[in-house]
Amino acid sequence: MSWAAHQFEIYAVQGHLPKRLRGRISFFAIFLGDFTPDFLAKFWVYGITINGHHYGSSEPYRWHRGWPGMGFTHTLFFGLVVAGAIWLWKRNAIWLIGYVLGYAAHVITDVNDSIGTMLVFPFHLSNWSVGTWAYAATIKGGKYLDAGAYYSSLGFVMDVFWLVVVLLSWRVLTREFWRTQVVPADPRVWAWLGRFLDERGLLALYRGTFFYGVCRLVAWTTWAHLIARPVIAGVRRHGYPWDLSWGGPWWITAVHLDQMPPLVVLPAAVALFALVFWGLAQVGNRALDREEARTG
Amino acid sequence: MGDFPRVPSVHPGGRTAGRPVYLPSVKASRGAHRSVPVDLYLYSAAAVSYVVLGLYNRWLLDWIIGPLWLVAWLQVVPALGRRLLRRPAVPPAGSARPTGPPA
Repeated sequence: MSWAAHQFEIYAVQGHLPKRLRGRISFFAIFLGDFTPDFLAKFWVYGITINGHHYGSSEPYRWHRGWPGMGFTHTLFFGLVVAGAIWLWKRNAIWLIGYVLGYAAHVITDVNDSIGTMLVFPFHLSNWSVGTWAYAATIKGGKYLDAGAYYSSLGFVMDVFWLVVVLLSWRVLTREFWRTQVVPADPRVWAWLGRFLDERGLLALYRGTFFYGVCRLVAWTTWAHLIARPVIAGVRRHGYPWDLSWGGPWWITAVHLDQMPPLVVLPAAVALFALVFWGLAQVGNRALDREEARTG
Repeated sequence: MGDFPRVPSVHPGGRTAGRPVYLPSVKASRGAHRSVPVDLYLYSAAAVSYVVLGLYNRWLLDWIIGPLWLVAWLQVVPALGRRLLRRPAVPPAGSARPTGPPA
């Protein structure tokens, strides 16, 4: 799974919308789309322990990304189903586009761990994985082992990559961008929030997920390498060992599901995201054409 | 509105793409002209405090608490600062504070 990458990719998507859709796509829709897969599937991955009894999935990786399991939540198909439901409810194509873009970003980023996602569910139930780093959520290790493994592997590089993407499009974090491109897409929501917060607070709310991503990246990396004292291969260590090799870290057994060949996955995932992006841009253009025709 | 001018508003249903639009019905931050360095300090303080506390209280590293932490720093701390700065530590001369009967 990916950690802070999911926080950063929201801003990366927001900052790279098709020109005509800028100022029209809801930031909240992108956020909700990106957030939905883990909101639905992740709570049972780590589970909870009460009075020494663990409540949670017996096979976290299969629950999270497999079928049968909640793996369907990490598929483009399910994102489109939810978006379709939103469409039936609100009839708002622009909101739908933001939601699917956020959802697609999450699903495609997650092909990087050793489990991957079922990209073409329900037409094919194989998981698509590039295997960049080891999926590390286990019953025994829980969130901490997962964090230690992720922030010792190329997962850390993935987070930094998305951070750099956002920083290269730094205007997305500015007050002017927020005023001219984020607020106009959701004026009612921001106006309602403005009853409780002044402009400084609203801007902080907009930047809040980025702030959380940066702090999460720094805090968990620091914890994993300076504070944690894990026992690995029978040896107590000062911090989890770094391993930036493909499929690492070496000190955890990467789990897999029935998968497509990795060499097929990367170009297919990029092509799929490009197709989704292009298709949504067409939907957006048509929606704007209709709106302009209606308003004259 | 004194120190809290409202920024120009726009009709929520208006067609707004491609031109500057101002937040509807929202209070501008007090002292906006000097807010950039102040905000920089506030963001930095929020980040440092969140990371340091989060290292030892990892339940704080949560997707709800994180963004709200930032909002709290940017919203509550300036308000507290204003309140503290306005309250004089020593009563000003000529105040109505009782001092006892004249000798």
